[in-house]
Amino acid sequence: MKRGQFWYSDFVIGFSILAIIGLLFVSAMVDISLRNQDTRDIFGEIISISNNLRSSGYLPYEWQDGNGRIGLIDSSRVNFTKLTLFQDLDYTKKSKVLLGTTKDFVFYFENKQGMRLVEYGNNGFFGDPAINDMNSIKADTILKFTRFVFLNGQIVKMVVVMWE
Amino acid sequence: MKKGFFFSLDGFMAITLFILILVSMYLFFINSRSLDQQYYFSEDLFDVFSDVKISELDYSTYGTVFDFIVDRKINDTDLTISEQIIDFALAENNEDAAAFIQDLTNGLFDNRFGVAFELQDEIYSTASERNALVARRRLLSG
Repeated sequence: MKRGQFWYSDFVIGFSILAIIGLLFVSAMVDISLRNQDTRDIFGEIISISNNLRSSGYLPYEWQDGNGRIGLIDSSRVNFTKLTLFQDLDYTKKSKVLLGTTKDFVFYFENKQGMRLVEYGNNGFFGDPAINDMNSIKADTILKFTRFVFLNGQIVKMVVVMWE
Repeated sequence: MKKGFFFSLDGFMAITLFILILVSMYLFFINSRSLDQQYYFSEDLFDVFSDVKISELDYSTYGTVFDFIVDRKINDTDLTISEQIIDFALAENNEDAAAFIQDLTNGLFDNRFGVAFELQDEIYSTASERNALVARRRLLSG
């Protein structure tokens, strides 16, 4: 045997190691792919909801009857009448249905100092009434999407949070 | 050495190549990011800048804007934000235009994002390194 020469038993061991690495890799990729699919689903919905919320909406006084389309912003400005009408809606039976989502969500306004504006909504939160603090969201996948709006003389962030 | 024999050096090179391919595939999956957030940031800023008049701003939040009004660098508070930026740029006063934009956008973006404004030339920019870039254009008047 020459030095460094590769034999059949070496080949079997090497091939086994490669097969194990390959299997581990494939399972990791499948796992990432499934998680990415979940994230993509939520991401699509969070963009759709943020687009609705940042629009003017339609028939705000009929939201309570399940008609119209939810939208809170007129010409980039937060419309407080629509915000109050939205807050008065039943979260599960009206808000989620009118926004066309089955996933849970909240949104809040945040100023340029990064402070949530707690004077509005449920400690600053609109949407899921069970949430009054970010720590109270318990989920494997939580996504945030930020939009800019004008509120009380300031350009602020409207942060939509969705989870599953 | 006999023809067709397989040596451990070949095996070592093959496995290195194999692992490199796996790692690059893994990194590609991990690092593929969406640019939707940047797209909506730029759209929303255009909207806010086109919709909001300077007189509507809270001057206690926007100190530079207030100083510009006091110093008469801003003469007409009935202009929208974008109209005022155009006014500064037409007067070739990019320095004040940049300070004006910075005052309005400061704190809105976290460290992952940067923002730049261009009219004919770049008048304001926060990011020196740009890995992924979304550019939006709008026709503005002023």
